[in-house]
Amino acid sequence: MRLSRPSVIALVLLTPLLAALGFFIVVPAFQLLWISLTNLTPGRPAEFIGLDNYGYVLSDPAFIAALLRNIAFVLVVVVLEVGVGFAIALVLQLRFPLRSLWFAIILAPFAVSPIVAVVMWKYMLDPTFGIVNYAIASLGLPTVPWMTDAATSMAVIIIVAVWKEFAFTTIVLFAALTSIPKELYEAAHVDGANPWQNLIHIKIPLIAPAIAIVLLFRIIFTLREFGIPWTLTGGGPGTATEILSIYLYKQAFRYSDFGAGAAIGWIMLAVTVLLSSFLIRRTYRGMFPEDR
Amino acid sequence: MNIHQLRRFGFGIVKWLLLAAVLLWAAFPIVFMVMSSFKPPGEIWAYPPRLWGSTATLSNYEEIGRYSPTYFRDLGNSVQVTLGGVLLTILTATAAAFVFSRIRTGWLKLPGLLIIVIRMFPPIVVIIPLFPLMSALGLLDTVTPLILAGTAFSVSIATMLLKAFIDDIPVELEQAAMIDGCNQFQAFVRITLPLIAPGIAAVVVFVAVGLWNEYLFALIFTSTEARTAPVTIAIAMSNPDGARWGQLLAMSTIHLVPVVVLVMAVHKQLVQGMTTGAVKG
Repeated sequence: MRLSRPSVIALVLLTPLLAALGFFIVVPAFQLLWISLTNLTPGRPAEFIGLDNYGYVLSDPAFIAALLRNIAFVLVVVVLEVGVGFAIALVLQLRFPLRSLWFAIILAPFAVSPIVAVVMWKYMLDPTFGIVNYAIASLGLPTVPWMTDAATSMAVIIIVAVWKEFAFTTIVLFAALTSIPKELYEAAHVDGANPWQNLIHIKIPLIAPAIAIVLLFRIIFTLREFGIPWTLTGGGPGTATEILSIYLYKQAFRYSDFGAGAAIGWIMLAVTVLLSSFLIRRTYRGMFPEDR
Repeated sequence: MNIHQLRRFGFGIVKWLLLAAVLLWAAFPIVFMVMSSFKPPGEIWAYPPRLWGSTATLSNYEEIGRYSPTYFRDLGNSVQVTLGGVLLTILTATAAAFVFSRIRTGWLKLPGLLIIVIRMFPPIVVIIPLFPLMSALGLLDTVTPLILAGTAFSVSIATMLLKAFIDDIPVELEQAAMIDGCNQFQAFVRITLPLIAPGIAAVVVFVAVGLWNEYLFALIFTSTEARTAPVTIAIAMSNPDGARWGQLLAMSTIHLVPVVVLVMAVHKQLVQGMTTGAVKG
């Protein structure tokens, strides 16, 4: 078989990409599957134990708790991100001078590393001396125990996560809002619609697809959240903020149970790919449009 | 003033108040931390809290070396990881983006699908298999696994973003250069690449932010010598003897300023890239 010239060029130019993905992601993913079927622990040869790790993990109350906690965490974070992001997109739609500068500022949290975001919020949310509780107290409201309490420490993780990532939602929904044809508002104006009716009957229905896509994206990428909860609480107090990534990390690197860690990893990977299937198909069609 | 003018005036005020609230939410934590890092150490926890100290001092910065003696070396490691990873990612992804944008061959759909699927993979799944491998290769506690694994998790999205920027440049421009004797790849490098330079800059910043802020791989694959700045900050924060907050705020400010400046500098192209990556696919 002879390859055509464009095929040879394509193959040569794609080799670095395929090598990077192959060595560091594809092969490790299959290794992970194998490890999840063994009792591997560092420094000992692994034995094949079938689906025992999956049985162990799925019957561990700590795993079920971490899973449920993770689902709740993802839902709250993503709903807040879309709510805050959409509200900010609506504000930015009002005409402001220097709009580009406001966008630059809104994008700043995206640049901040998870650990630095944790440092700044922990400083502001100190239960006794922090500026947030000071502000709350000045308004005459009861202060919040934040990290010192099991229930509110999850709230801190949620706040930091939402703060770091809302810009993505804002930008995508702003673009969607901007692409709504002006004629619709003009027609609504003739019919005497007020801004509230514009929001309910024009804006939300027309950007619903964009909202759905943003939701899916953010669900997938919030599911794996590790840096913020790990550095903020390490899963504590107790296990109050232990989500799947932390459970995995502890199984593998604290209890040296690589098999169980790998089983959780595969469960996470399978859920991710399953949730992504719609986005994957959509992106694929965008990349190779002649298939339509 | 009639009622219409009054309403417009009121609306103008509300509008600017809303913008102020948005900017406060986005920027206040950053500004407050940066300002607090210059407070005298004794005023970090002053109550009631103040936005700035009685004087601006560098003493928190001078203290970094005392309690986190490796911090500046670790920042150097972060710089190596970021530069190495960005360089590998951009070279790899530009070559691949050229292929996906300019070459039409049936089998390209398979690698295309591969990068789209892999872009969704959580990095946490590769740490378990890579840890024993890196250990066997003697690469633990070096920057190599951070650069290589970081590159692998950056190339997919970088390729997709670059492809979108290349698609916007008409291929006819390259064809004109090919008549003048360039081959297709030379024409691409000489004509198209300079035209998408702002897009490349945005992808560089996007990838650099990810590598500079990366925490998980650094936590797993390094211990002392190759430790990166985020891990050192996390260690200083969880100091069992109590965190030294002045020093922590100073370390965080040093880590934050370069990336925040970069992101704000290319925000237009980043916005374009984020929108492309999500909405148009």
